[in-house]
Amino acid sequence: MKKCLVSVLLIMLAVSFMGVVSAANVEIPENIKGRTLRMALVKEWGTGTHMITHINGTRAEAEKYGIDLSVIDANNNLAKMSDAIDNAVSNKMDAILISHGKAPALKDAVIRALKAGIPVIVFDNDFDVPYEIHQGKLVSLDQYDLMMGLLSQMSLVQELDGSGNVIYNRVANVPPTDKRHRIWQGGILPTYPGIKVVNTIDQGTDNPMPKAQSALETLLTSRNNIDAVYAVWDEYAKGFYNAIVASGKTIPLYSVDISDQDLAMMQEHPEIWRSSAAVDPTIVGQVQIRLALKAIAGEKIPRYYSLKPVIVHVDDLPSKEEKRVSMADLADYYDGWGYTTDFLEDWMIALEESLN
Amino acid sequence: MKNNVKESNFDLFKFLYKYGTIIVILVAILFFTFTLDNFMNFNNMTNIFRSVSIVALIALAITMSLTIDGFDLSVGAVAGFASVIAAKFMVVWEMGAVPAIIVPLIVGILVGCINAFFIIKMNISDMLTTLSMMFLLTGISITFQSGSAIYNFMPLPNNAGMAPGTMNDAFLFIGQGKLFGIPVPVVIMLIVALLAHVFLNQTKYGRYLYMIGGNEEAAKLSGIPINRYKLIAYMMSGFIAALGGLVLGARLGSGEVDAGGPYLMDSVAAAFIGFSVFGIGKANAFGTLFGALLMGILLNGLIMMDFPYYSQDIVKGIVLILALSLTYYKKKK
Repeated sequence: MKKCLVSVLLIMLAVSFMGVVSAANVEIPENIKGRTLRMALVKEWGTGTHMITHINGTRAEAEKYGIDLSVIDANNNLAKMSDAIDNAVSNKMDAILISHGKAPALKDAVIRALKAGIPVIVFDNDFDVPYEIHQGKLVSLDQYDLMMGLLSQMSLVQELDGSGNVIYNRVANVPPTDKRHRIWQGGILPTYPGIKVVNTIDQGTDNPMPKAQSALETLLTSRNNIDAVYAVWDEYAKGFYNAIVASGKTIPLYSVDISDQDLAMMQEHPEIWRSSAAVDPTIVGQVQIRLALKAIAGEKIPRYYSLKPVIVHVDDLPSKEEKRVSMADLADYYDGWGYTTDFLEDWMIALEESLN
Repeated sequence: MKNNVKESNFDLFKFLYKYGTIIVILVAILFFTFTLDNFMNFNNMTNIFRSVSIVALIALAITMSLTIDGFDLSVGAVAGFASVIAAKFMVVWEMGAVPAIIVPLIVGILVGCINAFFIIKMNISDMLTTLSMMFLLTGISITFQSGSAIYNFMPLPNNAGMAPGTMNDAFLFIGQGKLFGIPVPVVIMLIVALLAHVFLNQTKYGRYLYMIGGNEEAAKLSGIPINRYKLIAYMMSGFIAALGGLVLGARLGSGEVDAGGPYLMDSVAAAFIGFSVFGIGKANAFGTLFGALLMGILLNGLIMMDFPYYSQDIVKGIVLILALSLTYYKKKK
């Protein structure tokens, strides 16, 4: 019996060893081998902890493969975004990564890029382009916003035992928040009729934190029957959190997306900010780079891909006295945080090793 | 008969010119009181005052530049920069509330000096100088904070651990505390408005500022050192804007990215609505305060009535154009 076990272990060891060896011998695709690839990351805005984490994640992944990545922050200017895409085309970049933006403003530029044979990997946006043009080189990534909506909203429903007065937050005409809203409108409200929306706050996307704070302060001073607050986006949740803390009341807050700043607030008042559904923005960057590499290598890539979200609940985290948790630490508490193997190919590992 | 009609029309206009803005405020208050259960109570009133305090302070900063017929577009950026400096001082560099309050105020005054230098010595128009300053400061403050907000227990870049300091309680008191049941931001706003009013109307300096604004050439000929007074106006603008930024930072409890930006346009609107209050027809401190309050009341009521933000902008636009019509129609006459 013992002998058998030892031999099985030995075989396993040998196989895993062979695996390592074969990884080193994997053929790096011709289009990539020995070249310094150049990619552009074009962002609608590049400020705020969430976006900074995304940029850092993309940079780190690009560095692994020796990619020359230039990051363009359009500062909420769609025309500038479109120009940046055109610039990347005329500079013959190997791939263009996009985050956010509005489809109608960018579609023409994206089509020009695709026609020039440049793969376009889009995060939190989508372009309606026929296959003849994109030739399988267009990916729309999202953070599985439908699922994040469901996870965060169910967290609220569960902790309210299915009934209560809720202040709801709706950010209209932005693809990810629209998806989250569809679940609320079409799924949660009809299923749990005890959940009543008493007010809806929408202050647009331009620096909403102070506006969200003032808006909720207004509602909290004039109402006494609020059982929970829902934030469809964490930039709003930060303002809501401040307003609830200032009001001296204990009203639970549920949200979507997370940042280091959110975690610090959550740990400060665990009775207020209860949970937030999120995908690690680092992973978004990792997957964008890998999909771009696969496209350049001529491998098949999906048209749509949703990253797997996690519900970060304050009860899963240590208390603030024990340990202040940062985004990087969340990997200790949740699977699929900080690093993913999605679209990671053996030849990418080989490429990384060949550069060291 | 014809004469009579003309006479009474004229009176109506004169009345509207003087009290039009006040009437709009009263009508708005009455309307919200009757349609909303919880509008008219002490809590909500203090809430309205508190919510307009930052806009009002930044608008008072613009008012200072408007008195000399100048214009300061950099006030929003100054406020944002001030809040970021304060947060960085306390959270990253572990300094107390005193330097975190004094340094941003000095920076505000310095920005005013630089603005004045380019406007007076380089002869660049006020609008363009302060526009450049707005871009410059917004860029600098985002660089200064590495693009991310500055807040308690933030992880430092390059895995350098956690930020050692926290936002000081004495500092947060500026934005979140209460004095005799009145929020501190409201107290600061009222004091600044009162001081600005006294300064502009009861002192030699204020009258000179208005004279320069009314007719620069005449003021020059009558021996007023106009450059020095212009410098004073921009320094005060920078100082008050930085003060508004401190209130903003203390209210948010963190140094947010470009937090001052959205306040610029609202403040410009408040200052110009202020022209029409009591038919004064020029920039003035109490008018600005009323302008900010009018917008605050409308915003407060509309939020309670569940109106989305773009409809709030429509209302703001209408109120502003009405107030401007009152002011400029009279001037044309």
